[in-house]
Amino acid sequence: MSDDTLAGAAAPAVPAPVAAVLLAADGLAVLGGWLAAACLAGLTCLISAEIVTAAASRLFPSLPGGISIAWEYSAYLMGAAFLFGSALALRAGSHIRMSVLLARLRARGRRVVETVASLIGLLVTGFLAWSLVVFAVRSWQGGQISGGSFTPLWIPQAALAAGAIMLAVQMVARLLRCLLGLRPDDERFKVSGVGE
Amino acid sequence: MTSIATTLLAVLFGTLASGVWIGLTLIFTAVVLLYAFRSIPVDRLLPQYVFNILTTPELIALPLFIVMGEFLFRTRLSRALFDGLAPWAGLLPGRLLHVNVAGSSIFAAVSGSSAATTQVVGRIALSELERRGYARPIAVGSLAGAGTLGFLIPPSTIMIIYGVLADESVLRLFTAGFVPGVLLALCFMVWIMVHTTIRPELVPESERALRHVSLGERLSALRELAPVVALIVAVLGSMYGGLATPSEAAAIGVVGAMIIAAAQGGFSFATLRDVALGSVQTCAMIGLIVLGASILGNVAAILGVPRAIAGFVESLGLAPFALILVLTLVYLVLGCFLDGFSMIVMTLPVVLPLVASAGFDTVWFGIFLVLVVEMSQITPPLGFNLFVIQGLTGEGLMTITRHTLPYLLILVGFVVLMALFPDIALFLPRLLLG
Repeated sequence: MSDDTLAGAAAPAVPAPVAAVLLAADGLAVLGGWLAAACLAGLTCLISAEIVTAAASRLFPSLPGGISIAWEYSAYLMGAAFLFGSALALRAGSHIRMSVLLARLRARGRRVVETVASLIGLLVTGFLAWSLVVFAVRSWQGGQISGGSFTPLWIPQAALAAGAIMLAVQMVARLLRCLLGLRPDDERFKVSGVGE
Repeated sequence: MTSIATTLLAVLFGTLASGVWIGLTLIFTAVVLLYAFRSIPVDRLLPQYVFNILTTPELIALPLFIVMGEFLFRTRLSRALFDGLAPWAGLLPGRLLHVNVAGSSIFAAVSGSSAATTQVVGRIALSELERRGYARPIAVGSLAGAGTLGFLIPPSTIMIIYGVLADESVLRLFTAGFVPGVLLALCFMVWIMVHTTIRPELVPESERALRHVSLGERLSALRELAPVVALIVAVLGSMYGGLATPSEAAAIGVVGAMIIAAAQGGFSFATLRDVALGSVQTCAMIGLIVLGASILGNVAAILGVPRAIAGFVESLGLAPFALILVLTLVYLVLGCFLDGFSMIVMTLPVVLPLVASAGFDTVWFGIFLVLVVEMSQITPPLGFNLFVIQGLTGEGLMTITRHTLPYLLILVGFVVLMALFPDIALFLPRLLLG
């Protein structure tokens, strides 16, 4: 993950504190990626367990008909996975954007547009993160619980907020990279797969 | 209303053009519109939307099918598809070229993505065809064309997203896509037979020997395909038979894909890591777009935009068929700037009311949209199947496009056919689901 030091002689000098911030943001993105993977694994297990239980109860009617929380909690895990993975996807350049026009610009214009894009991105993700945090705090204070399982709603909401914060932090790092003239996306974080 | 529509378009396209990520662009536009035209506490509304959309139960099939595809993507399925299909493809004029089409159909039935289908089938098939002396244009063209089946033959990520956004049953869409998918594959195969009969030099003379493979060999080749066919039967069969919902079938699919991967001994830490982080990034990418599209769709509905546009288009008095024609052209133009996912999710809030009021079935329209996306998948400048083949062969984009042209024309013809006979898509869901 020492991408910024690997950039070679042509790379602009990065002040040590900034480099530390960039590295920390990358670490956070990778952490988010693994958290998202854990959510996906948990989701798969929950639904599989639900299927097995439901099938077993058809054979032996005395058994419970299914895991009552399976679908609700799977939905929470899915939401968390979407946002936890988002920062890593941003770092890897996996999020889709309209790049047709961007590709036609010269290096300098490109850097300006990338900076503007990151700025707008920070505005949106920052707002998103802040509002999700307030949202989770409110439902914690109000003691809101879900209708199905009486789970305190602040728990899944806090997971979404944490994912959004990671995304916003990665957006700050991206903005810093643009301002410093570093390459904003790093293909080495990308795992080629079935995405589009 | 004019000022709302102008602001919407200006903010949307201005932000898109400056390279802001699609999902974030859509959220940005929605927030700007709300602040400008309604005094609603946006900071309270937005997180509630985010929470509701990202935890929509109907969406659960999406990450699961992505994980399933990621596992299979990293197995030796490419080899198995080629070895299992080759002895059978040899019976038909056009010989092993049919492996491209049949292989794509099979992988499409376990994966929801066109680019992945092209990649998996092409990895082995293209180099084998080259080595055996098939003409490259037809090898490349048939692969690019057949790869588009990935979206049409269920499971399909695009259909799940359409189902969630259009509030339509994903199962119904999955059922509706099956017959068109198989028919389109047959059309491609017929074209390959016609093409290679008119121009026999495309297939090397020596390949005629493939007709004389013994039946025993043919049958034993099928064993290569047995695991993946069993998986297809389990996943599609459980859904069509009414035994499982799409999400349950997807979970079965993930377990099955893991078993196949484990049986091949491909369960190293590196593979698992790639599967995990690959799935995570694909999920996050699609999740962000769906999130943005739903938020903007909700906000546009609050502001009455879809109703206004529907009123405007109705005042034009277009015939239903003309509406579909206009929409197709709009999508082909949009396809030059946007990928299929973004194109569909961005336009759906406006287009869906139009189509519904013109009397089209929303399930039919979903399948129609998938076909349009497939067209954009094989037309430059943004054709993801073309990119994949460029990566596999190193050929130029325009050359690949030229080779793919006949298959694009078949696709266009097929869309016209679907518009004339909607039952091609709709009869199976009616039969199975009532």
